[in-house]
Amino acid sequence: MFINDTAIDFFSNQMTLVKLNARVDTALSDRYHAKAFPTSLLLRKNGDEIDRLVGFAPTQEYLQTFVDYSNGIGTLEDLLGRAATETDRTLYLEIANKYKYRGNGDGAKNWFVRVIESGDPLDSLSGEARIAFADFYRRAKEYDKALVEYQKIAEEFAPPHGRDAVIWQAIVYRQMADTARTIATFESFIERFPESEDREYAEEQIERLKNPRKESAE
Amino acid sequence: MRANIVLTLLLVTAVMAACTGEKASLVRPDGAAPYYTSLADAQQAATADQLIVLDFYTDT
Repeated sequence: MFINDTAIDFFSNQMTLVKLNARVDTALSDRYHAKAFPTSLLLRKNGDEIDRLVGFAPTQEYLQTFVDYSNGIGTLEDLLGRAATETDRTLYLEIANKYKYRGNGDGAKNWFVRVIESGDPLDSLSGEARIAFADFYRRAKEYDKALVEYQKIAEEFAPPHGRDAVIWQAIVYRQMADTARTIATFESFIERFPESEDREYAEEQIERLKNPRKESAE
Repeated sequence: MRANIVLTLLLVTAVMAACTGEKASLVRPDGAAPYYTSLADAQQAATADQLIVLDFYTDT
């Protein structure tokens, strides 16, 4: 809930706020392709999307984002207009993510490719784009392709992307219900990146997979 | 007796809402921003050029 005075005034006088539980209102969350939460969309009265904000943001930043969107600033249309005249890979990545969150896979892939092809293919922006690209295969349950992509990233990139790719490989094996490979990959992750903040997560996963009865008993 | 009072209060609230045109899905929490729990109601209530912020959340 918004308890900030500015937010109360904003949603009392400027914009209308609707709060929906995505697990309950599945028809609407599907219609607007809301897959990560929280997701907040700015809509016209007729329901057309202007743009969206995915993830948590401080109240002031949250409100400012929607004020900007209502003025045509930072929207997908605005970014596409800027990309027509600017060579800015961060901008390309932002556009790709906007397409991704809207469920437009082809649009997102085109812009992720542009990020990779318009700069150093092994820098951090390319790593982020490559991880996102592999993620499309994982979400589409094309696990073999996803594993190949994550493996390449793990070999070619330094942390964080090279490290994250190993975690994602383990997650893909878990989605494939391949317990032995999942455990082996998490173990390999801990061995290669013992100082990683994801070590605890990897250890928990291994413990759960090795002792499934203990977990279900709890 | 208590049930009658609650019923009467609910009825009065419903009648007042109907008179003011306020939608049943409008929630006005104390000390927090008002919000709707129905997009259709919000669309009906919004003025022609008023924009809507649709906030999807999960409780898990």
